[in-house]
Amino acid sequence: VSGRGRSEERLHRIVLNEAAFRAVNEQIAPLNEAFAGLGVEDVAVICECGDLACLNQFTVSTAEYRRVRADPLLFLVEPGHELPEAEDVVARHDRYLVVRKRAGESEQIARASDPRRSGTDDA
Amino acid sequence: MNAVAVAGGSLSADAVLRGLLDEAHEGLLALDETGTIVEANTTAAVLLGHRRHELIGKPLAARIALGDRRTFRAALASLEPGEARTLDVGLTATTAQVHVSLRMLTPTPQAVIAATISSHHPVRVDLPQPSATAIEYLVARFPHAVVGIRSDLRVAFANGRAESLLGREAVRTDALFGDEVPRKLQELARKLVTSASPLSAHAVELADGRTLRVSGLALAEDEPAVLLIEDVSEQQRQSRVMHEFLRNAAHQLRTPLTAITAAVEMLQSGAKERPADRDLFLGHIETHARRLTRLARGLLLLARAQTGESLPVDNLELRPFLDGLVREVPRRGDVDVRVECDPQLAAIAAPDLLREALMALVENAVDHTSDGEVRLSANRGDGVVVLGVADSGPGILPEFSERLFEPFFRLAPSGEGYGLGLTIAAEAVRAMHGRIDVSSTPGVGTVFRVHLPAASRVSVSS
Repeated sequence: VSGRGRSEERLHRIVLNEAAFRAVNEQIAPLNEAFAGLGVEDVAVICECGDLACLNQFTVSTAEYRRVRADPLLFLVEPGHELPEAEDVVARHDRYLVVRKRAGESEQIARASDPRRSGTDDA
Repeated sequence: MNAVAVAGGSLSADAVLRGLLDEAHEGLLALDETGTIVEANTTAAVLLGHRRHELIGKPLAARIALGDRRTFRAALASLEPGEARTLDVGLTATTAQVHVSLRMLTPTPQAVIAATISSHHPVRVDLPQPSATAIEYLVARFPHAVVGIRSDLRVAFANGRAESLLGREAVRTDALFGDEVPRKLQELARKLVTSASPLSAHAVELADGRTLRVSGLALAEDEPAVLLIEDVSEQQRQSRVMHEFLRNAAHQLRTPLTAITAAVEMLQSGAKERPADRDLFLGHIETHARRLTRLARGLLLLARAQTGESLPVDNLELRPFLDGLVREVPRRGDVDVRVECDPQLAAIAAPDLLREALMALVENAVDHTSDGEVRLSANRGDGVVVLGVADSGPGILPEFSERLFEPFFRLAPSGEGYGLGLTIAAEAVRAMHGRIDVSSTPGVGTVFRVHLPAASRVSVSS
């Protein structure tokens, strides 16, 4: 992409990856619902970091997942997988962090790729 | 004896008469002057809730509902020769009112009174009523506690199970069903004797952790109410274990399924167009599909072991078996896996089961060793072969040793295992009539030992 520095391009790709993993987590909601029927009441989440090689999982409560997903700027990542140059940690837990995208391109991408923008709410 | 001619022969007049009487839709009884039953037809037996022969010699008044008994006795006592009296009364065997007609056929001193009982409702004839002896036999051998309780809350009877469950003193005949039993049970008994309805099942938790399921049959006329008490503690424990097992199994199945689903979603969202990304996610799918397969195999093995299914065993030459197994173990870091085994050594084992058991132990050892080696050894003992899996990991604290073989028990919450490996190993060894034990020194390492019967010679097939 002309006019963009290498680090900007890298950051752009990472944010797109994060958005893709967030969309994946929305897609696996039916799987979580199916297992909820077997007494597994939390939600399995794929780390929403920008590293494509990371398919790490952790669990969050259904309520927490809904809360995070209601805000298009919030993402769930494993501790250590946050991106300090583009996001702030707004909540820390043993197994995961909640991060918020800062103003700028990452915010724009996060808003544009919000899987619930169409109004679906089926987590 | 008078005889009645029938086709093909003759019957006694008594037999014919009895047959006729039994065909009657009314209960027919002959009473003596005291009201004792001297004869009864089948319909009377059904209405009165007893077998015919059990009625003979018993006062009819005892089968009349308590509230009507005085009226019935008065009618009987005032009966004159040739005179008939009719009255509506209740019976102990049914809640329906019946119409009783009494007529004195012959005068005292050897009076015969004919009693006719008719019901306004159809008489339902089911199975013959069991005798009191049969009921006592059943109650005595009933697997649950049975306690008869009178309206004054005193114990009328109790079986042996009631004595062992609640204590002999608590259910002693004529004792007050009160202080010696848990309060909730006492309240249920009081509710039962003050209500005309049966008691539906209630759960009663005891202070010692046991759970009782209590139900009851209400007082029936002059019969006591009956409390049925079942100790369901073991059923509840098994139900909890099963529920926990299923929940854990579901949890463990979800992890690889989530990873596979996520990888597929990533491929479909564009990663498949980029070769490096495509290979990455296909690799994820392959890894987790393999884990899923192992998990399913482990769960099946556990299920088979728990049903007690025995698997065929054979003489197994150990050296080539262990060498082959080590080649299959996924490597991690710089951990080396070494085999020490006498080439002549053989054990009596089921190869598939032994492979599952040793693979689980070796993988567990590799997971807990950051560097150094894991040693897989086989040595002959007294009629046995002892297979050892030793690691140089951090060791296991003694308080965890006993729980190591429990399903889904994990020493650390993270990690790739499902907490099933050691359970599978233990079940597999048990299915081969072997034994497994563990010794560990914190900071030095852990050794699992599998003891199997030694084979004297190796079969060709192995």
